[in-house]
Amino acid sequence: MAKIHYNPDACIACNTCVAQCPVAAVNADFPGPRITGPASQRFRIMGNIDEETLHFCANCKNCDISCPHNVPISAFNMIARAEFTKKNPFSLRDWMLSHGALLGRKLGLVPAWLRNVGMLNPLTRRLLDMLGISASAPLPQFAAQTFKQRMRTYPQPASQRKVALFPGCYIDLYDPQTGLDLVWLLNKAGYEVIVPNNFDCCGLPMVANGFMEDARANARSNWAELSSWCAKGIPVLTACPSCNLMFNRDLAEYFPEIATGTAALRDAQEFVLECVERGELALPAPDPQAQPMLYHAPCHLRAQGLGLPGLSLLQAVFGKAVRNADAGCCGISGSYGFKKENYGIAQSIGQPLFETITKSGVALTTSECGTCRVQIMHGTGKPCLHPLSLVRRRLELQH
Amino acid sequence: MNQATVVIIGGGATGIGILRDLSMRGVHAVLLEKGGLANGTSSRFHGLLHSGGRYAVGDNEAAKECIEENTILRRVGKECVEETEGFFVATKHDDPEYARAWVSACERAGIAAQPVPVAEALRLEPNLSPNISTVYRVPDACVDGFRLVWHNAVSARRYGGTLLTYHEATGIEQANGRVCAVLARNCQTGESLRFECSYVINAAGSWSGQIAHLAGLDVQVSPDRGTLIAFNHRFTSRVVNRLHKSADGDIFVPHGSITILGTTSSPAPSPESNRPSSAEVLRLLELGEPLFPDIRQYRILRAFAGTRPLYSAGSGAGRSASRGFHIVDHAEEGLHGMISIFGGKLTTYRLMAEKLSDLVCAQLGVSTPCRTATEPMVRPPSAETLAKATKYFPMHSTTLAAHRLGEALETVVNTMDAEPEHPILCECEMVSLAEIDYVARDPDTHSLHDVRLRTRMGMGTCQGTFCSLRAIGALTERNVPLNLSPTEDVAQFLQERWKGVRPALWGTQMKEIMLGRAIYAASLNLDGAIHEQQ
Amino acid sequence: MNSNSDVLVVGSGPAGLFAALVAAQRGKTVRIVTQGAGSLAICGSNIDVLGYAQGQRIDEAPWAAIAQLAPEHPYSLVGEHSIRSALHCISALCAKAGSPLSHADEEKNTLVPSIVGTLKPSWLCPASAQGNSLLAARRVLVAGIEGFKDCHPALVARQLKRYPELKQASFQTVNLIMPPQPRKRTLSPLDVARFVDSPEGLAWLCRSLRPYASTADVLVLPPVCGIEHSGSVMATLGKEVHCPVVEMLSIPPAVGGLRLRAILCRELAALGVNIVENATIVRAETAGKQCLALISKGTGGERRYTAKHIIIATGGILGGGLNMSPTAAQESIFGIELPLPEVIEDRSQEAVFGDHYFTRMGVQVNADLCPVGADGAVLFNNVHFVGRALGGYDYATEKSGLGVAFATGWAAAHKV
Ligand SMILES: Cc1cc2nc3c(=O)[nH]c(=O)nc-3n(C[C@H](O)[C@H](O)[C@H](O)COP(=O)(O)OP(=O)(O)OC[C@H]3O[C@@H](n4cnc5c(N)ncnc54)[C@H](O)[C@@H]3O)c2cc1C
Ligand SMILES: Cc1cc2nc3c(=O)[nH]c(=O)nc-3n(C[C@H](O)[C@H](O)[C@H](O)COP(=O)(O)OP(=O)(O)OC[C@H]3O[C@@H](n4cnc5c(N)ncnc54)[C@H](O)[C@@H]3O)c2cc1C
Ligand code: SF4
Ligand code: SF4
Repeated sequence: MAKIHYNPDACIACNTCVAQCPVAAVNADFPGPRITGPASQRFRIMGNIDEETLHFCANCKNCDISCPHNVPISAFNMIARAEFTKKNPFSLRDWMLSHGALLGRKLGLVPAWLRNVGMLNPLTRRLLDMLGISASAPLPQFAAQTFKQRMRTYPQPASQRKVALFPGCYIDLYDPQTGLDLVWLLNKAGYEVIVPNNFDCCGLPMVANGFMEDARANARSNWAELSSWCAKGIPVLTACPSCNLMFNRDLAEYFPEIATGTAALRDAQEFVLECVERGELALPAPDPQAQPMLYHAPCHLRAQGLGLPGLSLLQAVFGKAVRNADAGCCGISGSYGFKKENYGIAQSIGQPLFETITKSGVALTTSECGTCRVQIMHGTGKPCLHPLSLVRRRLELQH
Repeated sequence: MNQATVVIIGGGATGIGILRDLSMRGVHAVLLEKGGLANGTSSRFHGLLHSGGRYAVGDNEAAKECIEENTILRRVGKECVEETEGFFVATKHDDPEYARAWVSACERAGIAAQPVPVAEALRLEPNLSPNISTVYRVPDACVDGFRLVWHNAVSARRYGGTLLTYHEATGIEQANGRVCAVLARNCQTGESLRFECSYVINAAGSWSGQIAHLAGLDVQVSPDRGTLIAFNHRFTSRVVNRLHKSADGDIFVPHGSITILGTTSSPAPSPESNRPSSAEVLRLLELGEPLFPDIRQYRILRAFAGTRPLYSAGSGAGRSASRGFHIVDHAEEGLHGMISIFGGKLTTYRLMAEKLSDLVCAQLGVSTPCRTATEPMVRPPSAETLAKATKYFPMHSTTLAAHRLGEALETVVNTMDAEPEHPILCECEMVSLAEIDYVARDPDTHSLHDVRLRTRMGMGTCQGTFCSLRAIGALTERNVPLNLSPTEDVAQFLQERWKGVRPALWGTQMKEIMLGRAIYAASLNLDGAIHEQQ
Repeated sequence: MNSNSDVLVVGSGPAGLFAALVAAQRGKTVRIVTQGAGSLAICGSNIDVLGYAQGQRIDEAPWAAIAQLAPEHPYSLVGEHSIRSALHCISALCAKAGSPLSHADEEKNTLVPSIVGTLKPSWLCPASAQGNSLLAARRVLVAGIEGFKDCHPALVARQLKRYPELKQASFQTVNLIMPPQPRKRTLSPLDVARFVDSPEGLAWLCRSLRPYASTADVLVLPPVCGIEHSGSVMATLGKEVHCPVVEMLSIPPAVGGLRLRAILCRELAALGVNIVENATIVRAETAGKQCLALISKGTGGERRYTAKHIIIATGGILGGGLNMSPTAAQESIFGIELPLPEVIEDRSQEAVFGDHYFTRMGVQVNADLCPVGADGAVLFNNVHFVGRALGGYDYATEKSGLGVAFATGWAAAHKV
C-alpha cells in the first residue's frame, strides 16, 4: 500500500466534503467524509478503533470530487473497511454482492429465464431479504446470453484498426445490448472490436464491500491483460464509468505496486467523441424533433476528471433536447442501495434526481452507469438508456 | 494569613512531584505556580520517557536513572505512558564504531538493546528510510507531561497538598539565617499574599536562578532553548532515535495522534524565550530527513520551544545528587530552609522529588518513607463506568478519556447520562463536551488554555479552529464560571497558534492558517470586533 | 471539437463560476475545469465589498473608500463600474432564482451579526434578512437550536451587547427544539437548513418562531433558512412570522455559500457550460505571449484543453492557485514567480491579524487582468487572472472577498 495512504495531512478540516456527501445529507448517523476519512485516519494509525459508522459510506466519491486539497477520502474509508472486514464475521450477502461475476459464471450454466425466475421470484427475494438484500431493491435481470457469448457470433467487418473492449460485469451479464451498440458505433468508425477473454471483474464491488484481497487478485490479472493490449498499441475501452474509475484511479490508490507503467483503460464515450473529431465517424446535425430527455452524470464518471463526454455526444446529435439533470447522486452506488440497511438511504439520496426527472415531464432519461440506470428506472418509472445506445439509434434513424 | 511547613515554587513536573511526595508523607505543603499547571518546560518538551539509551555512552549514570525510573513510571503512572518501545537507527553514513560502543554502554546501564533486522524494522515502521543499516530496539516510551503533572496534582490534593496556580512568588523573607515566608501575587486578582513557612523549595526549572535571586542567592542557571516540531500525524508508532553521537534533531516521538521531532539547543536570553525561529525549524527538517525521507511532505502542526536550565556547577555551593540533576541546600551558603532543585529530565522527576523530599523529611524529622515508586498515581474508573462510557465516546477514545480523567470519568459519564445530546466538541481529538465541561469547572482551571492542555481539545488537525469557539459557546451556555469571550479568548488562541506556525509558514500548514483567517476574519470579523466591542 | 471552447475557466470558486457565467451570458462557449468545489462551498452568502480601509470600519457605502485604494488593488484595476455591474448582475441572478439580495440601505454597509456575537460590515445580504433591522431593534431575540454545537444564543447576546450600537437593545435568548429524530451526529446548521427546505421543516420553523414575533423587533437565527429553497423559506417566514429575521454569519460547513453556489451552478447548466470536475490543470503550453493550451491530469492520463481565452480563477494559497515553499512563492499553473522576502519571518508580522506580506501576495496583472512580470510587461495576452489568485489585497481583514471575486470575474468575462 502506498505510504501516502496512511497520510491524512492534506486535510485542513475545511469541511467542503461534509456538505457534498450525499449520505450525510440524508442520514443523521453518518458523521460524514471528513470524520470517517482523514480525521479517523489519524486514529487508525494509532491502532484499534471501532468503525461502526463506516459502513454508511457508499464509496460514491463525491467527497473526493469536492475536496480542494486532493485528500484521498474515499480511499481511506475503503481501506479501513477492508481492515474491518478482515477482523469481523464474514458476510455472505456482501460476498454475493461483490462477486457477481463469479456468481454469474456459475449461474451461467443455468438458462437465463430460469436464473431470473430463480433470482427474482418472491420466494427468492424473501430469502435474499433475509440475507440482507432489500426485497424492494431494483435487482437487475440477467440477459438471455452474456455480451461475451453474443460477441462470439456477432458479425463485424474486419479492419486493420482494432480496439479491445472491457465490457464490465454489468454489460456482460445484464445489458449486452449497450455493449453491442458500442461495437456498432466503433465498427461504423472503422474499428474492429476485440473482446479479450482474460479480463475479470474490475474489482470495484469487492473494494466497496471490503474484500480488498480479492480485488487485488483481480487487479493483478486485469492489469497484466490491459498492459499487454496497450503494449500492442491497441486501445482498451469501457463504457462503464465505475470500471474505468477502478482501473485508472482506484487501482493506483489501492495497489500502486500493480498499477505500474503507462497502461490505461479508455472511456468509450470519450473515444467515440475523438473518432468524431478525427473524422472517422460522422454525426448527423442535431435532431430538431428530438424528444426532450434528461441526462444523469454518474458520480463515478464525475470523479474522473474527464468531463462528461457522453453528454457532449448526446448534445451533438440531439442538441438542446438533452439536458443535464444536475440533481446529484442517484443513491445506488453499485450494490450499496441493494442492501437492506441502505435501501432507504439510497432512495432518499435519489429523491431530488427522481423529482427533477418527474417534474421535467421527460419521457426518456440517459446515463452511462448500469446501476444508476436501474435506480432511475426504479425511482421514476421512466426508461433510462446508455448514451451510446441513443447515439446509435439516432444514427440508424438517419439512414 | 497563610501558613505551611513547605512552600514549593514551580508547578512543573518537579514541583508537583515534590508536592505529592511530601503530602503523601504527611508534610503540609503549598505549591505556587505563576501560570497554569505545567506552564513551563513540562508542557514544552519532547514527551520521551527515556530508556536511557540516549545517554548510555555520554552519561551512563544518568542512563541508569532513566531506565529505573522508566520502569517505575510504567507501573505507577501507566495512564500517562504509552508503551511504544523505541528504535535506535543508524544510517549507512553513521559510524558503526559508535554503535558498538553504544551497545556495550547500554549493557552496562541495564538497558535491554536488541538488534532488529532492517527488513523487520521497515515492516514495522514503513515510513523509515530504506537506507538505514542498523536497528536496535530499546524500552523507550512516550509520556504525556501535562497529564503526568495533572494526575500528580489530583493525587497530591487528595493527600491534603495545596496547589495555587496563577500565583507568582515575588519574594522570600528570611530571619536569622532561615527562610520564614514567601510573598506571592495572585496573577488574576493582583492580590498580594504571604505564606509563612519553614522551607522553601525552588523548583522553578529555568526560572530557578530568578527564584534564588529572590532570596539573595546566586545560582548560575542559564536558560537554553530547545525547539521541537509537532507533526499532524503519527508517522512512526515507535520512538525513533538516530544511532550516532547525540546531536540536534534526531529523535522522533509519537505522541497520541501526532509525532514530535526535536530538538535543537541554543542559549536563550530568558526562560520565557520560547518562540522558535524558522532557521531552527528548517534545520530540524534537514536533520530528520535521513531517517524519514518524506518528512517535508508531512504537515507541521506547529513548532514550539522549551528552555532547559543549564547549571554551571561549581558556581554555588552545589552538591550533585547525581550527574543528571542537582539539589542545592542553600544552608551551605548560610540560608537554612531554602533548597533548589533543577536539571534532570521529566523521566526522572519522581526520583528527583523523592531525593528532595528525603532531604526535607530528614531535616523535619519525618520518617515516613517515600511511596511514590509503588503507589499508583491514578485511581482508575470502575469497570462499570468504562462500560457505560463506550455508549458515548466514539472509537477508542473511551480509553483515552479514562486515562485523561481517571476516576473522574464517572462524573463525566454521569453528566452524559443525564443529558439528551452528547456532542463531541473537538472532532480532531475526539473530546466530548461533558469532559470539557468537567475540566472547565475544576478549581485549577482558569482559562481555555488550561482546558486544552488537560483534554487535548484543539491539539489536532484544525488546531482549535472549530472547537475553541464551540467550547466557549457551550461553556457560556452552561454557566461554567470561567469568564470566556470568543473575541478575546479565540483571538488569544489564534495568536498562540500563529506563533507556532509562523516559523513554518509554507505548505499545508499555511493553507490551514489561510482557512483560519477566512473563518475568523473574513467570515466572523473577529479582528474588527476586538476594537469595536466594549 | 470537444476540448476547444471560446473561454476556458480554471477553478470553480466564486470568481471562476461567475466569470464563466458572465462569459456564457455574452454568448461565448465556456468550459470550466476544476479540481475541488471552490470556497463558495464553505463561505457565507453575504457579499462583502469593502468593510475596512486603513484599519477603519466603513459604515457608509464603500465607494469613496474604494476610490482611495492603492493602484495595485484589484478594485482599482477593474474600476467602480465593473464592481457595480458585477453586483448588479449577481443580484439579478439571485432575484431570478427567487432568493433576492439587497442592501439594507444604499448609503451604508450593513452590519451583519455572527454566531460569535460580532458584527461584520457587508454589502449585499439576502433581501428578507432586512439588513440593519438588528441595529434598529429595541428588543432582540437570539435563537439557537437545542443540541447545536456551533451557535449559543446566550453568548451571542452577551457579545452583541458589547457594541455601542446595541447598548440600548434588550436581548432574549431561546433554543428552538427540533422534532426529535434519532441521530449519532450532532446537529449543524447544514442539517437544520436541509430540514427547513422540506415542508415539515418550514412549518416547524414558522411554528417555533411565531410566539416571539410579538415580544421582539427582530429574530436573529443561525443560517438555517433552507438551502435549495431559501428564497421561498424567507418569503414564507415573512408572511407567517411577521417579524424581521436576520441570519447570523457562521463557520463551515456554511449554508449561505451553498445557496449562492447552487444558484450559479443551475444557471451555468442552463447556459450549457461544461464543467470538468476533479481535474487538476498541471501546466500550460505557451508560445510567446499566447497560452495555447492547458493540460489537465485526470484518469487515464493527461488531457489538453484549448481556448481562445483563458481565465484563471484558482484562488490563493487556500484554493491552490498559489504555492509557497520555504524558499519560493509561485503561481501554480504558469509557474509565475512571486517576489518573496528571503527570511521567512519577514513574510509576516507577529500579530496574527497584522498586516502580513503573505496575505497580499498574488499575481500582478494589468488593467485587462493579464499577468505582468516584475518589469510590468505582459506575460500572456489571452490569460486573465481573477479572484484571490490576484495580489494586492487581503480580503480577510478588509472584508472584500466575494466583492473582488465577482468584480474581477465580471471584468475578465468582458475582456474575452
Ligand atoms: C526542548 C526540551 C525537550 C525535552 N525533552 C525531554 C524528554 O523528551 N524527556 C524527558 O524526560 N525530559 C525532557 N526534557 C527535560 C524536561 O522537560 C524537564 O526536565 C522538565 O520538564 C523540567 O520540569 P520542571 O518542573 O523542573 O520545570 P518546569 O516545567 O519548567 O517548571 C517550572 C515552573 O516554575 C514556574 N515558575 C517560574 N517562576 C515562578 C515564580 N516566580 N512563581 C511561581 N512559579 C514560577 C514556571 O511557570 C514553571 O511552570 C526536555 C527539555 C527541553 C527543554
Ligand atoms: C471559510 C471562508 C469564508 C468566507 N466568508 C466570506 C464572506 O462571508 N463574505 C465574503 O465576501 N467572502 C468570504 N470569503 C472569501 C471568498 O470566498 C474569497 O474571496 C474567495 O474564496 C475567492 O474566490 P476564488 O474564486 O478566487 O478562489 P477559490 O474559491 O479558492 O477557488 C479556487 C478554485 O480553483 C481550483 N483550482 C486551484 N488550482 C487548480 C488547478 N491547478 N486546476 C484546477 N482547478 C484548480 C480550486 O480547487 C477551486 O475550485 C470566505 C472564504 C472562505 C474560505
Ligand atoms: S464516498 Fe460518498 S458516501 Fe462515502 S464519504 Fe465520500 S461522499 Fe460520503
Ligand atoms: S477532506 Fe478535503 S474537503 Fe474534506 S475537510 Fe479535509 S480538506 Fe476539506
